[in-house]
Amino acid sequence: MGDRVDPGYLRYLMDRRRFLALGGGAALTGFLAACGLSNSSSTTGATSPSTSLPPVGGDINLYVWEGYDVPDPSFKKWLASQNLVEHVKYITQPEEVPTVLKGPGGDKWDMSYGDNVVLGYYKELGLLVPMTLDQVPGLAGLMSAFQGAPWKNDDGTYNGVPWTWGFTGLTYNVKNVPAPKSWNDILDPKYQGRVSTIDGAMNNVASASIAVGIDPDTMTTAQLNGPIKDWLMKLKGQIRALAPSIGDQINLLVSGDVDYMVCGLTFMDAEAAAKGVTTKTIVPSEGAIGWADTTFITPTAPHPQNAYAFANHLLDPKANAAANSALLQGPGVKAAIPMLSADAKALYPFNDIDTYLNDTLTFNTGWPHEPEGDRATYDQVIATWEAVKGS
Amino acid sequence: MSLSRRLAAFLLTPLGALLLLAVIVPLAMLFAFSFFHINELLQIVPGFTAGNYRQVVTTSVYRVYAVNTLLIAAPTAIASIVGGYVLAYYLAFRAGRARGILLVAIVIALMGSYLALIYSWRTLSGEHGIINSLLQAAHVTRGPLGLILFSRTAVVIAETNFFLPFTTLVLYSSLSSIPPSLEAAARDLGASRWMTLRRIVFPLSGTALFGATLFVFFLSAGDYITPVFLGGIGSSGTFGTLIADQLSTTLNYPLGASIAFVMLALFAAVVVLLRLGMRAAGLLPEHTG
Repeated sequence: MGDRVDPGYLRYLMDRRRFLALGGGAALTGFLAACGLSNSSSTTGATSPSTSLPPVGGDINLYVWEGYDVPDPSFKKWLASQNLVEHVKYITQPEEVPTVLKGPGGDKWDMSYGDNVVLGYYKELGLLVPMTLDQVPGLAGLMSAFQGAPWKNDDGTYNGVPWTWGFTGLTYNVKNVPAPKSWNDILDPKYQGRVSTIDGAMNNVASASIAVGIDPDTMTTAQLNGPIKDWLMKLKGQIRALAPSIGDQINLLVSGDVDYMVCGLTFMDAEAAAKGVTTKTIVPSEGAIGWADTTFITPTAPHPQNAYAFANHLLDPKANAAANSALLQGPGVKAAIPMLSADAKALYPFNDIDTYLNDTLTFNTGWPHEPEGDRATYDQVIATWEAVKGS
Repeated sequence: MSLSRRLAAFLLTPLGALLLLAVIVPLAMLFAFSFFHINELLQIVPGFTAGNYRQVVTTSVYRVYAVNTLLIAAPTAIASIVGGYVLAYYLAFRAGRARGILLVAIVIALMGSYLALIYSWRTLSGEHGIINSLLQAAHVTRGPLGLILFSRTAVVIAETNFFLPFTTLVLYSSLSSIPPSLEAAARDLGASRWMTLRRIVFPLSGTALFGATLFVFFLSAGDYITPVFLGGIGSSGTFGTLIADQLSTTLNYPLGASIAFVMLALFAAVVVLLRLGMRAAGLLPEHTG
């Protein structure tokens, strides 16, 4: 990883995560387990690292998304000042995370990543060890939206450090079509064949849920099979093609094959602009899905003192502002807001950011894998999207 | 030597060992997985359940995927075989000095990156692509043709483009081994051009025809990239994409494995039907395969 960060690639990687299933990667762990390759230790009941830690310095092993190891040049200086030497492996697919951390050699990693959708599940799998305010004092500075589940536990510990965030909204071609105000605007018959979305169950179902006014985290099976599926069927009637990747979503917008993109990201606007096409990604009036990338410390971290120091540095307001300015993402730390670059400040209504994070964006936490009352399950979500595609 | 002894001898060879390790064992593992299930932690739990197969057979959306698969693979196989046969015939019997250049061109066509070919097709056939621009400039069409991109037709056209060089080479290899004198003798004896083809050339290249058809059909039915990039939302779901989703996104290996084996069973049925059909048409000798 060099000093220069390619935000496009970062967004692509991060988005991939959000499109994949809650804990989907754990299945691969199961596969390995079935093959006898998995770590045989219990997947729950992770233990905290020793409280008597050696001084910071030496190696730190990061299994993270590209760019999150050194988000901006100032991090290199900080690493040098702490006598830290990074050893980095990049996550290429989110399902790799459980597989790598629980597979052979997985105990060498100090830190890795999950978002709000997978974080609780990773905890269940024993992939992370909760941290305390004593260990990472910077956690106290997190925005209020991140001072609860799935980031913070009832006992006051934190599952990780949600230092950067964004949203998945609606992107449109500024020149060709009017700005949508509502998710329903794209269902107008005159836009038939002018709409696309990514081929992913999780984000489409969650977005549809928000479009019809249902909280994805409390969505019932009846709601999934009723208004949410109905909305997706209407969306299907408008769709010209499904995009298999973020890059493809951008291509469809840039080529003029579609004008509206569901599951859009602000990153797409920058990429489209670079190709001479003006697009804008907005949060419709009904709201949008939010995501917060969260770095966590593994239970087997060989250098926990360095991991805690790194986590704490990510939450330092100045460092957090620098990192998110470089990445063009939202800062997890409120005190970082005044120090953001002008471009990063223009992304969100920072004058009332708490309301925005709490009310406008929905940081969903995924669906249960086993039936829980009348709640829709993960399998049902996947099956619904397959049924919509195949109908 | 009996069949079992010959098989045993084969398996003792390095090739047999490779086949065993790289094909038979993984296939057997996948078959075993198809009877397992996953728990709430998405871990594979060994056991025996026919639930995955029941789900594949009884879920209506999977039947849609199966029909989509057939509606893409069958036309692709037919188009690739017809086009490939015409090209191969020309190369074998009519090309003369141009044969070498044409063969090189066909081999070059094979060298293109699969994904690059897909994106090339999208560039050509997009709303503002070359094809639509030319058609509209020539007043052949008033607006962009939606049929040639993000549709089942687009998938068939693109896959035919990929597979045509393969079928051409396979069929050329067979046709070039037919002595031209046989065709000449048939014509001398009064057979029409069509009768010569029907009674001499087709049967002698029947085995290659059989193999090439299955080759294209299987690859097309299992393709999970082209339908995703070039198919519309109604036609992008095939057995190939379904298996890919189960193995890479939802990571439900048992269900993915059961879909794969249902597809394998359907493939076996296609083999039998094609063989019976070609034999009935006199295109395949009785002793073949």
